[in-house]
Amino acid sequence: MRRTIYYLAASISGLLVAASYLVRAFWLDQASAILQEGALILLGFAGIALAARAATMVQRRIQHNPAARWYGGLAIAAFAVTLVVVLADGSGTYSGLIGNAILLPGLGALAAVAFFYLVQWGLQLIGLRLASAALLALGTIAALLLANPLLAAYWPAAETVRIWLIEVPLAAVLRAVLLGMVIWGIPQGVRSAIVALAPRPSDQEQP
Amino acid sequence: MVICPTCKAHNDSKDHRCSVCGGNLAGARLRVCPNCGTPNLLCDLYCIQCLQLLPAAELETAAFLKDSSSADLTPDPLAMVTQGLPEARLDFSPAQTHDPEDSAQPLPPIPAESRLPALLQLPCGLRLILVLLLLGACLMPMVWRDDPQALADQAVAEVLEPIAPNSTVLVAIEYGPAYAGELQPMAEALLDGLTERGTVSVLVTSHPLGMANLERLAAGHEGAVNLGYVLGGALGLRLMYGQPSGCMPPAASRAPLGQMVVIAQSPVGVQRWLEQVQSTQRMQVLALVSAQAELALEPYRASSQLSRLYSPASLALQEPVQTAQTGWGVGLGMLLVVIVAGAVSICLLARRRGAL
Amino acid sequence: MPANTYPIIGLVLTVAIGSRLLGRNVVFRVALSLLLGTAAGYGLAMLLRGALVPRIQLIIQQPRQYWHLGVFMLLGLGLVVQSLWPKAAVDELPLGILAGVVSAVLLAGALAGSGIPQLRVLVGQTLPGITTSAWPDILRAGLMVIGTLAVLAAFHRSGSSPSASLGWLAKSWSWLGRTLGRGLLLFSGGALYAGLLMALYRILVSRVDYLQQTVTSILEVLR
Repeated sequence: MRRTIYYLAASISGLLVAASYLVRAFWLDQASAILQEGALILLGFAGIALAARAATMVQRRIQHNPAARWYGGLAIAAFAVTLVVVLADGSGTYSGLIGNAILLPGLGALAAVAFFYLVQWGLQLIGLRLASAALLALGTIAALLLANPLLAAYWPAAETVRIWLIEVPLAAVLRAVLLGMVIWGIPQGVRSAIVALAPRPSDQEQP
Repeated sequence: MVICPTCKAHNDSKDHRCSVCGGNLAGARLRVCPNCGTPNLLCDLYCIQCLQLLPAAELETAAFLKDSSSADLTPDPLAMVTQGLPEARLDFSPAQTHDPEDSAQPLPPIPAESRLPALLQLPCGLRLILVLLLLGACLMPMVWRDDPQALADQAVAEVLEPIAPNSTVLVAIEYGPAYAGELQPMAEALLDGLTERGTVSVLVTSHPLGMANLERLAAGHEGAVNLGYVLGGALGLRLMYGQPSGCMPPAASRAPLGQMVVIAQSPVGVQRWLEQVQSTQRMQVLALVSAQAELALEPYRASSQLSRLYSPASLALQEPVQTAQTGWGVGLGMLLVVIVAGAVSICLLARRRGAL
Repeated sequence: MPANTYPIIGLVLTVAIGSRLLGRNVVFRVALSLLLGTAAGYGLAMLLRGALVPRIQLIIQQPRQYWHLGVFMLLGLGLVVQSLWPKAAVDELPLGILAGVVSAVLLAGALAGSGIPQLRVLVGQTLPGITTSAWPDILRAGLMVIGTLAVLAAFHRSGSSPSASLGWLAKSWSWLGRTLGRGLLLFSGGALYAGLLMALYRILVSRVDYLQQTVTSILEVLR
């Protein structure tokens, strides 16, 4: 029964919203707008539910793993303080502090550190003596060479080659990837997500 | 079956997180080298012992039976790459249908020096040269005193050229704090350029952490209107800007829908504007994106859905800026040397060990 | 807290995160925990401020016009209740609406905004290429069409080996995918990887620049 309600609600709301992209009708637009507005509200509550679930999981992990309680405690404390401060801060002073003093330098530094690991990962991949790795290396070397302003300054034709490569073979590949995503990737992803989100049958419904 | 390293619960081999405690199971999965029998992490391409290329099918499961208290609460993905296998002793159960405790076999001891990934197994001198080259590459723009203003001015000249003076422009800030180092100077220059033209900038973001950048930009530009965060990604944009009869909140109804500039870190940030808003409103969209997103968005530029598409990397190639970007060019050259030299060395090393 | 302390906090955090390059250490783990907690809290606060607070205000101010938002608020509470008490069984309707609407928006948006325009370009490039007499245009159009078809063939034929029972057309399609399509995909993958490298390289340079400027300004203040 639970699954029936879920699939029925998903089908009706999905069809109404999808139809509003194809057909222009006042009542359809209104119904679709109300459903989308409602979905946004549900998304907000889903965020709260997710946070509650994550907090429960961290709490369980701390119980099972006392050595890590300091890091978990610190993460939860930072989460709670930030949540309260940003929600209560009407003037934007403290949310500005969190953004400028913590998020911008911290996440930027994390991305900068990731650069070294990305180089290492690429070396491992390109270092394989396989034809596919050679093609991958060729793409990387060509892109890095042609994006170099020094080469463009000393060899003006480099820019013409770069533009031709981007506009002809690479655009063809990326268009095909895009079409593949639209035709196969997104529908498959959506199907998997709908099945994954479906509620599990309750104890009474199980045989 | 995979045994959770934290709570020892049995999970399905397809699970990524423990069904009981939610712990990460990535570290509990191993790939066994068919050549020497050494267990490797799933993320390893080569065997850490013999550098044999690991086949995808050799997926096995393991449990950390001892010292599970040393496991970290916030699993660090970088650690999997740099440290190879964890310090904890491993137990290995090849038969997925059997009880792991019955079929557990002890693993062969792993020499400490072979717990390193392939790059760090290179000879010390070569490794040092590669690391020094990488570090040197980061310092090059400072050593050559690259002029960041030249790049910013070029961004203003190229991206804002089609925008009429004294108009109103929607500016979408679709990047998080991690990419501020690459995109924030351009965004600042663009807003300055718009203000100089007498244009009103209306700022908005659909990136959850984009507000940190947006608030900083709005604080530095008094004339800019801050619409804030649009929740729900594609859904939020469709509702607020794409649906003619949508319930627009009062702030969103002030957003102009004639022309817009999207500053984004990923292709998705631009795609959702094109798919949900531009396809119904037929507005002119200009994009300034991270170097990682430029190529992926090329089909949209070719189909004229994007009027202009630039990244800091492609702007640096424009003629007036080239000379002010010598350090960036030298740094990219050094990066290229690291990649070619490192890949060739790994290849030669693997060949010497007879793995390939 | 005065604004001139921002760079000092940022400097400490940058150095702490950067210490990861020297190996896994306590300073890095503390900084990472702090950063993850703060980012999650900031994201949730934005979500609440953007989704719930303005709509609650609307319901309070104009209840007759916006009563339907209240219904969705009640349904949303079901999601929270379900996450706290898994046996409650009150989440099927809100989850169904959420899944249906989000799927429809993603699918219809991708089709209208990406699929149809890109197909139109593909056809639009082929026709002028056939009708024109200029060789460069013909070559360009031909390369683009063959490239796109080869990559689509690579997706279609991935994982399957050519069988003897296939007709010549199917065999050619399979061959095109395995050779040209796969090769083009790998070459593009390399170019995309280079783009990611360049983006992170610029971020790294900006961080080094930030460190240098902050240390210089602190030293000037100390003098």
